[in-house]
Amino acid sequence: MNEFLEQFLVEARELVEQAVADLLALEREPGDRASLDGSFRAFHTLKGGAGIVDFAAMGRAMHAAEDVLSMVRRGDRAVTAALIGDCLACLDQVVQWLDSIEESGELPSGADAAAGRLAVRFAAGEAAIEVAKTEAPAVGGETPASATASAILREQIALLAIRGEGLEGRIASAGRVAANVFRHLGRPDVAERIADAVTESLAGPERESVARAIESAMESLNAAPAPDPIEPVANRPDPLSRSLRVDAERVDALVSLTGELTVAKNAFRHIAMLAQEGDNPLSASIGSEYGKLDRLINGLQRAVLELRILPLRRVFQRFSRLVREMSETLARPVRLVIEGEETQADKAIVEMLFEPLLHVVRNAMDHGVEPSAERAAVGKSAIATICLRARREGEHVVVEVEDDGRGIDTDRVRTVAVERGLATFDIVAGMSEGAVIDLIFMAGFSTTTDVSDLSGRGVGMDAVRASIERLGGRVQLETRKGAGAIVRFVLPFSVMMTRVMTVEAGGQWFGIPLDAVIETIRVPRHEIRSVGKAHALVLRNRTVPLIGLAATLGWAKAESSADATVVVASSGGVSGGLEVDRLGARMDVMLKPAEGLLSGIPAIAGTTMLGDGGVLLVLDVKEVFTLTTS
Amino acid sequence: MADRKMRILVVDDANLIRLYYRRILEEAGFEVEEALNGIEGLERLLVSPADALIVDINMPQMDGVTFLSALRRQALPLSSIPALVTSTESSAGDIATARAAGANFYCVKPIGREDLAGAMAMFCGVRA
Repeated sequence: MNEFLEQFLVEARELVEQAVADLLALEREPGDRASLDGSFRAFHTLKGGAGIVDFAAMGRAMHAAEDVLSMVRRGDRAVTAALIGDCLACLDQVVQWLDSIEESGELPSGADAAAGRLAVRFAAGEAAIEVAKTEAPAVGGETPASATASAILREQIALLAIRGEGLEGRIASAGRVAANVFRHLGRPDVAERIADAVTESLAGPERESVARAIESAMESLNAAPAPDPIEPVANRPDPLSRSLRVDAERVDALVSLTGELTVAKNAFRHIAMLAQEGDNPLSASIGSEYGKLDRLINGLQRAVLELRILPLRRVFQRFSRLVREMSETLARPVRLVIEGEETQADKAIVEMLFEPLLHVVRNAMDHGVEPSAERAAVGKSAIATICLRARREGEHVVVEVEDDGRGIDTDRVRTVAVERGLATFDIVAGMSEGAVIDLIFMAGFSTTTDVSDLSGRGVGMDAVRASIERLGGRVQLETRKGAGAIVRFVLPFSVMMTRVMTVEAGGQWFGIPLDAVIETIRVPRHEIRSVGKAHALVLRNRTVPLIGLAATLGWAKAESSADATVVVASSGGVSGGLEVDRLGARMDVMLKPAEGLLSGIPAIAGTTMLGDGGVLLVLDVKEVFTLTTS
Repeated sequence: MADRKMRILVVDDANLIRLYYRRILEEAGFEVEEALNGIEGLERLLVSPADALIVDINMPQMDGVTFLSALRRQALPLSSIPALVTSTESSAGDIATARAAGANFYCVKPIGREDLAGAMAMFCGVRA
């Protein structure tokens, strides 16, 4: 694939996303000039891109959409669901073309026919509107006249930004037009203010006063009793204007180099500590230089990781569209509320979050939200609300899907669990509500008997939990019977760094992710009870299973001491105590997947290099417990 | 409408377009003058300044962009006459070129009846 085509793919996908978001915003608020202009610009830029890569069919389709939107801009067409639908269909086609280009590296064949169909679709819409227009004036949003006025005023501001020959003429004419627009609108007072600014600007070196006068006049227009709902386009920051496009591979190379630098720094710490032990006169300065290096490298690492940070908007935006479609398919009116889409997270998380979120949203639409009649019967509003929410909590990013549907029926969960053979009746009957809800995360669980169009594809909440845990996160579920449910993903802010506690067992050092560590305790051996072959200890009236870490992993037998050192840990709903020989330092490590021979060791989440050149094995706590039980 | 009729100068080489504009604008209460290209346009303005201009981009002898650049370099008040540029091109580059030359607004042809009369009323500062 040539360079142009590659760049085209990247840009086009971003533009499609932007256009979809803008179109949906426009559908919600037909008078929103910023969304209208945004979607128009997106189609326009897509057309331009198609031209550069010689993709004429796409250029024609984009042109048709651009034409329609430009009519809306001029006030010749109203924003209707059909118009938005046509534009979205056009973008769907673009995505298909882009996928095909990505796959084959070439422009798709047969694109002409598809482009032709789209053009016909747009033309048909136009004809229908032409008829409608003569019968009734455009409904909602802004009147065409005020749209034109605002567009003309904005154009004068743009004109004033130009320097060079003919400046006085441009200032005078822009001011004259702006003043005349306000005279036309019946505001001669505002016109006079602009005219004064023109005189002032032409007399002195102050060239900006006319633009400022027009801007403030437009604001007064917006604040007037019959407000003009238009904001100047200039108020909308262009997200691309301050950004630099860098190939993801280069960023990853930088991340990798920084990782190696961290390893080298850790090695240096080892040396600094050795120097402290002897009577080395340099030890003090080595120690202080190490401190500086440590600070700088940590700063560098944070900065590098931030390069990989993206707003969750990328994922969330796709849902406006999907929920709209699902809502139509299910004939259940649903309103999607998005909160905190500016929340940022590591690229890896943003990219991986879509699938699990989609599954949860589908579940909410399919199982959570009741049909309208059922909602009306219990006095709920006919339109259900699904809220997609994100926020930063310390080192975590929390993503929630909340619905106001029927909530989870725990009795039904109990029944299904028994039917599916996941547990016996006696067990489920004695379970707490929380434990019952946890059953939903078991493999093979699904509360609908019928496989529905939307969610029942054999992928359950167990898959959701697995993919969130792969990202280093955890899933929580809250439900209020009859009032709705919240599925919450608690994810690490950055996937690269894992804070671990080091422990020694059987002469080998291991890392235990601190996320999993609940507490560390010393227990007198006589307090450890034997339950058959297994061991357990009582901790605050709770019996906690205890396993010897070294023995479980097949390492040498643990040393015996009067007291046992125990790390109480919990992961993936399993918890227990791990007996270790001693506790070591806590450290931030860059976890790498175990490779080669190490990949054969069970219960290892990954490895990281230690300062002395050794390898630290970082445990997958859940698997450690699973190894013991099986 | 104001005390006197507002005068619009249409600078376009296409007869049909000039006729179309004249019909619309006269119906809306404007007085209309015509020029076939930029040179003729400038000559007319020097004799009797108009209240607003409608300028085509593609014209023989002197195109719209050259005409506008020349106009904006004249002495005031001649250089301040509002100008609406019309073209069949809608690319950002075309709009930017027209703006740099001193166009006050840009419309892609064909222009609707109401749009044209509305824009001219705004350019001249008269009630529709």
